[in-house]
Amino acid sequence: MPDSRPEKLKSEIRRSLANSALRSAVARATATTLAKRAAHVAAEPRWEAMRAAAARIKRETVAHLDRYLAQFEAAATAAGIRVHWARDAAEACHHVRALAAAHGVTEVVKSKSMVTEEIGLNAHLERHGIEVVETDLGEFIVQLAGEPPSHLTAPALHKRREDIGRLFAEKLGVAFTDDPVALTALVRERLRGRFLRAGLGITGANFALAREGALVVVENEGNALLTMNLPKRHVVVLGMERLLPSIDELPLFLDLLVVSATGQAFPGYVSVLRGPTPPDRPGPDEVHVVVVDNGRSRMLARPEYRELLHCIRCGACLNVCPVYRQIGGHAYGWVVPGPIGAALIPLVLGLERGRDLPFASTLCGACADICPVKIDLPGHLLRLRGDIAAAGLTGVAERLVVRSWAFAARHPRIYRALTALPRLLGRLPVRAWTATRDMPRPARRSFRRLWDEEERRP
Amino acid sequence: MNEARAAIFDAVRRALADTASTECSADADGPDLAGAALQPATDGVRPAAGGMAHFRAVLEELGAGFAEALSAEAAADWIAGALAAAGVKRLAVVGAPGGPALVARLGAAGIGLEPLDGLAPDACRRCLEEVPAVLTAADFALERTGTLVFTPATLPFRGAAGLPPWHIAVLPHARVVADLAALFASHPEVTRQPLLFVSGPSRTADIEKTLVLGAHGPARLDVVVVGGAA
Repeated sequence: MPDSRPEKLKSEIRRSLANSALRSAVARATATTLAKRAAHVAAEPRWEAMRAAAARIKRETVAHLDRYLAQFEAAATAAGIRVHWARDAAEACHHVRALAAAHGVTEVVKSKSMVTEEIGLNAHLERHGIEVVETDLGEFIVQLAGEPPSHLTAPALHKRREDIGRLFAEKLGVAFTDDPVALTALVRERLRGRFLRAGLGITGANFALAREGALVVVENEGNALLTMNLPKRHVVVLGMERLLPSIDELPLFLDLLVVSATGQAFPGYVSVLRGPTPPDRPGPDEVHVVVVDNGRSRMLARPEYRELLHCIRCGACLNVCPVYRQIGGHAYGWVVPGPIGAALIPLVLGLERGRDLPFASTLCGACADICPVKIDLPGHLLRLRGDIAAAGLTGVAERLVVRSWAFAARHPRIYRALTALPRLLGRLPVRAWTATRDMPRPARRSFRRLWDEEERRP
Repeated sequence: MNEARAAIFDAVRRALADTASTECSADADGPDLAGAALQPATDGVRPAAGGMAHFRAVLEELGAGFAEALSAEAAADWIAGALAAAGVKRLAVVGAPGGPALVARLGAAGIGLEPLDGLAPDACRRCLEEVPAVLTAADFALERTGTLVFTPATLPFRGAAGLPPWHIAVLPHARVVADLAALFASHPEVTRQPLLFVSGPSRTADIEKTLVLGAHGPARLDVVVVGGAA
């Protein structure tokens, strides 16, 4: 797993909170997307019915994943797509590198793909002398900056235009500009030759259609279109949970994905791939798909968390999360940030490494309300908190407080005495909390006492 | 590879063994989705089709141009005028968009046409790198989202929709359908083909959510619908 560091969550949070530029950039970007999404949802009277249908379809697909995987493999193979299987990140990276090596490829172009981030593909290929060029503008920016993406659909969302202008000036040797049009044009010009030269194009896929053996790639820039069609070979790296039963479900899932991710009605480009191009036409004469497990079957084996495999990586839960909007994506320390990341990280990297993540949530429920496939994220975070506590991974002070509270709760006299303390003191002894917030003064009489008085009243 | 495949299927089947019988509604042998309960609820979901005016409004909102022409000749005149206004004299042509009459009239108007049909793959790619504009025929369009639909029959090389800076697409009026679900329902043969959907010019908002057209693909897209009034 590349550069995972969820253990540093607390220090990363402090660093993010001190960075006002980061916070304002994230807040502005997420607010823009949420407003556009809300307008589309308001105009769609069947939105809730669509979410419910999508949740049922994902539950059905994941519950029969073995069958859908076999069906996808058979149909894709019949269409001329070569299917490879990878148990873990190392195997997945090996497949891609072997394909490149078999054709003497030293330069590849790549479009945005979270699963390739998850398996650390770029670093692996670079270590073996294969240059990887990210072609999505946001990915190009973070690759140039040597950073991971900070959002599932907007990798450079944390960067201001002046940061990007300075980065380009420093790394590309161009005159400084912070004009998004000029910066975008510069990347277009720089990358066009790369598309034409590259011996291999690498993409992810938003969906794989089991019945048709087809792969669906969604984008706005046209970089994935060029990545898939200009090099002679195309490799799709596919998380094995990305299956849909058939193309019949595609209209529904495209609607939900695109509205939730970007607030658009339809993406700029959607490609439904069904095999290599015939030799007399331009296009890839080889199409490969690497189906990646990398911990997904372990998650599948835990029915209580299986629903997390329904995620379609739209990023809406990030946009709406009050924690993500304050700290951005890098603080989470893994490729998938936000509420979905906070739930996935302890399951993928282990409870010990990810033990702080489920607590980085207010449990306000906004993520569950916005999720297009109705994943109960707060429920999963709460369950993980229980698992972490049961594993003895919470701090000593926290364990002491919880045990004391449990003891007091079983002894009403002690409980009453303790709850009277703040009234006697006039405030609660929580300086860290009140340093940046107002704490209302405790009521003079407790609810219990008021209730008793009410009961005694004739 | 076979070892990995076997291991993955084994892990998945073991993971599902305890719960599949209680969680799923489909039978054990087939991939059938077992009835309407699992079908996407798209029928009736869409707002009523708003006609060509809605299609045009959506395209313009996406930053694309729109024109309606009564005949192929009128479409050719519109395209020739647009090219002339932009100072563009060369046009790659995929197939015969709008029919031979349209293409012939463009040639007669002094546009340097570069037919891509029959070119070797490398020559085709080179041509598309160099030309300022490409003319294609779309198979269908989706009114609700302003989307063009291409199959290999009309766009044998998908890259043609992504390489030149200007993309002009022509389609008959009768090929504009309400939305994707309606297309799949009315033309099921489409679901059996590779597809490319294009909605507006290439765009990005990766820098501070500022919309920029022409990120990697065409910065300009024009859609010419032929034969409406007829």
